[in-house]
Amino acid sequence: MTKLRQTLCKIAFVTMATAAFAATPGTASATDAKTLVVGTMWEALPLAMQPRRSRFFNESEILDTLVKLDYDLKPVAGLATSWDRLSPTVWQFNLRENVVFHDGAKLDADAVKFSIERVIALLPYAADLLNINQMTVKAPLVLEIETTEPFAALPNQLSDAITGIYAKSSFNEAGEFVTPVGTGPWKLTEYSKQDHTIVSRFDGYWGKKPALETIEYRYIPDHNSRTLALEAGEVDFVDNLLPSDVIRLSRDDNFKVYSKPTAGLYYGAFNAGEKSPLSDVRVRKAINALVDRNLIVEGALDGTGKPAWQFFGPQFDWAPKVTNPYKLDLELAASLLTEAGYEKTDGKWQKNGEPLTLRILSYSSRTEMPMITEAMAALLNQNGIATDVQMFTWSGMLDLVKRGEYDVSVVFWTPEMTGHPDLHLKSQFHSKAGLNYQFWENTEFDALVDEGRTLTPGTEQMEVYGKALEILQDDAPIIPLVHKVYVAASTKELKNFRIHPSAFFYDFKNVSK
Amino acid sequence: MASRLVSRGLHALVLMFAVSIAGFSLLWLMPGDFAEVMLMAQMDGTLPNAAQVKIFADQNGLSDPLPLQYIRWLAGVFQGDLGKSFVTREPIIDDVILRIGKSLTLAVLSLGLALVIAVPLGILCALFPGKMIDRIAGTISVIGMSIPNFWYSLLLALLFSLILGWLPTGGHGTWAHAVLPTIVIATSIAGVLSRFVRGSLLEELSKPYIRTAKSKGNGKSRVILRHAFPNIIPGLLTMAGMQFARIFDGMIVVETLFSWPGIGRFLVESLLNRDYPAIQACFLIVAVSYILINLAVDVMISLYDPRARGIV
Repeated sequence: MTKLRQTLCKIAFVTMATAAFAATPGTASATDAKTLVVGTMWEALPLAMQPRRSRFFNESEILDTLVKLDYDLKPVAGLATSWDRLSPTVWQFNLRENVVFHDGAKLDADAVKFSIERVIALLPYAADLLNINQMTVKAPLVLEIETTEPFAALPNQLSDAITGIYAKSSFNEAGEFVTPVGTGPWKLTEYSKQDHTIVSRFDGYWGKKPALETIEYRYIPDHNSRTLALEAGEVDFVDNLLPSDVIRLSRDDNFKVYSKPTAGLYYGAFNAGEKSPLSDVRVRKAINALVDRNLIVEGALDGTGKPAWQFFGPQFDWAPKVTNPYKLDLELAASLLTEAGYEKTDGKWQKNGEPLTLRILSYSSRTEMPMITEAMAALLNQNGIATDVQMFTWSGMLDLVKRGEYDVSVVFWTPEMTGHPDLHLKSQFHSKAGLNYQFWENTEFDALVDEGRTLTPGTEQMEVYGKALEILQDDAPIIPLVHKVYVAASTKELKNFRIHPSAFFYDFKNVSK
Repeated sequence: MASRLVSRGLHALVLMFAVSIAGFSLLWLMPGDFAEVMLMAQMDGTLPNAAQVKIFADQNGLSDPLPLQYIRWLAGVFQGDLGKSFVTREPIIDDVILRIGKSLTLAVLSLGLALVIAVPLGILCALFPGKMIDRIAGTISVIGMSIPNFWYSLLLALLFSLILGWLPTGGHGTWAHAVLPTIVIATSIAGVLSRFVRGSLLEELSKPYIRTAKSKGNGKSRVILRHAFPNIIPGLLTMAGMQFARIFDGMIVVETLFSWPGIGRFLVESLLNRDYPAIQACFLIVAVSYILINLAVDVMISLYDPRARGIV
C-alpha cells in the first residue's frame, strides 16, 4: 500500500509539473501579409440575429445593403444601382446585375423581397424603420416598394446596417436565422465562441476584389489588453482604445493612429415619467445648464471627443443646426431649480428636506462610457445634485430602464448613421416608438418627426427637422454629452484604412498590409 | 470503508438536491411575473399584454403546480437543458460547457504549479525556521498573496508578450494562452499554500513522535520528509481543495485581462446582464462544484489516511 501510494503520489506530481510546464512558449502569432487580425471590444458575431449583431454583418461586409453611404454619408449604389420615387408612396429600386450570394444563389428582386421580409419579421424595430406596406417584383431585377405613408427617407433607411440582404440559406425552414450568407466581399468561415470570428474573401464578389484574403476579428474585452495585443504584434488593428493609449500610440512610429468625428453621441437619457424628479422639465433643463461638456471631454477623455450641446454632430450638413444649443449657465440652472421648488442648503439642492438625488445607470463594456458617466456625475455632485451611479452591461441596464427604475441612463447611439435625421428621432423619441423608454411625450415633436420623413430633402424638410430639434432642446428629454470621435490604431504596415463617418463600416476591402 | 463512502456520496446527493431546489427557486425570485419576463425576453424586450402572457404560460406549463414544474425542470437539467440566455438567445449549456472546461484547465494547472512551488518552499522554511531563507521565502509568499492581480497580470503580459514576445497577451485555444493566467494565479495560491505547509510542519515538529524519531538517530530532513510531512498531507489536501474551488469560480480579474472565458467571468457577466437563466446556471455550477470538490477531498483523505476513514 505504501509503495503504491508513493508511486501514485509521484505520478500525480510529475503529471502536474509537466502539465504546468509543457506549455512551451510559442511565437506570439505573427500574422502573414494576407491576413488581417482585428481586436474588437465586443464579441463580434454570436450566431444570433439581433440589431447589434446584424450590424456587424454589415460593418464587416458579409452582407451588402441595397443603398450604401459614401464617405460624406451621401447615398450611393449598393445592391441597388438606382432608385426612383414613382409616387409619394412608391419607390422603385433597380438591382445590380450578376450579383451572387456566397452560396451561389443569384441575387434578384425575389431574393431581396424575401430578405427584407425576414428582417422585418425578426428584428423588432425594422418595421418602423422601413415603413413598408408591400413589395412587388416588377421584373427580375426591379423591386417596387410601397410605403404606408409618403416616405422620402426610404433610401437612407435602406442603408441602415440591419437591412443587409441575406440569402435564403441564412434561414432555416421555419424562417429562423441560422448563419449570415450574403453578397459581400467577405464570407463567414469560422466562429469560435468567446474567441474569434473569421471571414475570408469571396471571389464571386461583384465589386473590386479585396487585397487581403482573411480577416480575423478577435474578441479582447479588456481595453488595456486590446492595445497590448496590438503592441505585441498579435493583432494588426484595434478600435475603441482608451484615450490614454491613443496619446501614447500616436507618439510611437511603429503604429498608425486614426481618429475622426463620426456618427455617435453619448447622452444621458432622462426618465421623464412620474417616478423621477426629471419629470419636471425645469430640472431637466437645469441639468443641461449645469454640466460642462468641455470638462468631460478634456478631463475624462483627454480630448478624444467633441463637447455636445445639441443632438446631431455639427459636421453633418444634412441635419439642421439648432438656434438654441445648451450652454453652461449656472445661474440659469439655479433659478430653474428654485422655480421647480428646490432650495440649496449646505451646498445641496433639496426639496422638503430630501436631497435631489439622481440614479444614474450606465454600462462599462464600451471603452469611454465609464469615464463619461463618472465625469457627469462628478460635475452634478459639484453643483449640489447627489448621484447614485450604477454600472451594468448594456442588457442589464436596459432591463432596469424598461421598468422605469432609473433617472438618467447614459447611452451611446449612432443617430447620424443613415445620413438622415429620421432614424433616431423617430425610433427613440417619438412617443409611440418601441425604443422610447423615457416616458417622454411631446405631440408637437411627434407630428414634426412624422412629417419630416415624408418630405424630400430640401428647405422644407430642414425647417421641419429644425423645429423638431428645437423642441428637443426646449423640452430636454436628454442631456447630450459627447459627440463621438472614432479612434483606431494599427501597425504601421497597414495601408488605406479610412474611418467611415457612419462608424459602422470597416471597409477593409481596400486595406492591405 | 465502502459503506462509509456510499454514505458520504448520499450525503452529497442530498446536498445537491437542496441546491437544485434553491437554483430552481432563483428564477421565480426574479422581479416581475416569471412568465411575463420570459416572454418579454423572447419578444426582444417589448411588453406583452396579459392575454399573450397567459397563452405563453399555458403553452410552456408555467401555470402548473410548482413541484411538477420543478420535476420537469430537473429532468431538463439532467439532459443538459439549462434554458436559453436572455441576452444571446443561445442555449446556456453551450456556454457552460466551454466555461467549465476553461475554468477546470486553469484550476488544475495553477493549483499544480502552486503546489510544485509551495511544498518545497514550505518544507525549506520549516527546516530553517527564523533563518534568512525562511524570512526571504516568507516575504516572497506575502508579496505573492497580496500583489494585486490586475497589476501583476499586465506586468507579466508586458514582459512576456511585449518585450520578450514569447507568449500571447490573451485569448484561449492553445497551451501558450494558458501560461500567463496560470502563473498569475499560481503565484497568489503558492503564497497561501507555502505558509500553510510551513506552519503545519512546525506544529507537527513539536509533537512527541518527532522527538522519538529524532532520538532514533534520524537526520533533520529525514524526520521532516518521512515523519512530519506525511502527517500534514490531509490538511494540505483540504487547503488545496479550497483553493481549487476559489480558482474555479473566482478569478474574474485574471479571466477578463487575459480574455479567458471562465466561470468567474461568466457569473459576473450574467449578473450584470441580469440574465436570470444564466445566473441560475452559474449558481448550480458553483454550488455543485463545491460539493464535488469537498467530496473528492474527503475521499482522497480517507484513502490516504486509514485513521480518517471513521470521520468520512
